[in-house]
Amino acid sequence: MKKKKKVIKPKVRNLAIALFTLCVACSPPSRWQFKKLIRLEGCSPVGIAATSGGLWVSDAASNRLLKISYEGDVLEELKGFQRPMHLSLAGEDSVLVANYLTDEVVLLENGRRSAWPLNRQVNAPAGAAFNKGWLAVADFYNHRILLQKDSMTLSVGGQGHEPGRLYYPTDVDFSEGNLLVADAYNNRVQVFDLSGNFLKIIGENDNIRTATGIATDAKKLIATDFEGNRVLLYSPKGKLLEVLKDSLRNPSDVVIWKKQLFVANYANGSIAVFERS
Amino acid sequence: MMLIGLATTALQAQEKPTMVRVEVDGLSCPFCAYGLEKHFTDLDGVKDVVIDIKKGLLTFQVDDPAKINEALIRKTVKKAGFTPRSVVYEKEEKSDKTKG
Repeated sequence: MKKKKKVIKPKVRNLAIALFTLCVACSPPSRWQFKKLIRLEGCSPVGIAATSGGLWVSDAASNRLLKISYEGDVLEELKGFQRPMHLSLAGEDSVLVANYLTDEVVLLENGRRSAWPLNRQVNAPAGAAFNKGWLAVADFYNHRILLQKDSMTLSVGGQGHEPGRLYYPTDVDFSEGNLLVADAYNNRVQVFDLSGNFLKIIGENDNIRTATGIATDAKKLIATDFEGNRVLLYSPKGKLLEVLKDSLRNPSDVVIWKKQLFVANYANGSIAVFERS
Repeated sequence: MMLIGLATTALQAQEKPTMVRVEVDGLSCPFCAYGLEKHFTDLDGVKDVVIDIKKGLLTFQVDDPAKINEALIRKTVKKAGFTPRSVVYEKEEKSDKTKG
């Protein structure tokens, strides 16, 4: 017997669409919710970077890097760094390590380490980022960002508290063709163009106590507030969207990987994992 | 005369280094704490630099306390971005191996 095809009347269909639209509009925006802590015994994580193979974590206190699975198992331990600080990706499974004591940026690629040639001397590199040929280094004790592409070199910032000046910068990232700086002890994030021109300040009214780490994706900018035990999420234009506090203890760095957000908890040797609600 | 000179040199070589303990506030942040360590590691005449972040304590060894004097230590701590509290030189007693 042939089944009779159900026909939805236009009025009913329109009503259903209207109800669905109303529900979507009225529902609260999805939020990041704390999911779990990955405990790392004897580790004081400072930097964190995410790859398809797992998370890289720098342990400055023990001069090593750890690679851990997304479930928290230690996969690899690399010793012999000199106070490794922030980490970032320079390509799939290529990690940049800010080697603080030796004034080097180390490229870790397929198990091999090499010093990235810097066009100028830095003093205590706290973080580095690479994008489309540009390398940026947070030059902590020179209060500036070393920005270089091939032989072209720019010094961005300089010591001070005014807009465009930096005070102990600890992390850098690139987003939408701009340079983002964790201006740690000015308690803010600053945005520059790739000519070194100051564009804007983010977070200056949000009571950030120490802005040590930053991360970006297409839709947001994320900053860690080390002394404030918070992670702040902003729109690309700098509007504060959300503040995370659960299980954060001196968060020093943050990274997003797929649908999860990972925070390096320096004080209690753990990685806090958040997921979208 | 030459023998006296050699003996003095030999004695100096046996001298134990002096331990210096510096109390510093605000060592909670790794960038600051290891920055302080970096400044002292870079000082000529300083060795075995150890940072105790929890206690806010910097310790290191010096062979020549006159060279690495308190003024230089305080200046270096300030250059690293901190205000030093106490600076204490702890001369270790030489052990007498003939005893016991």
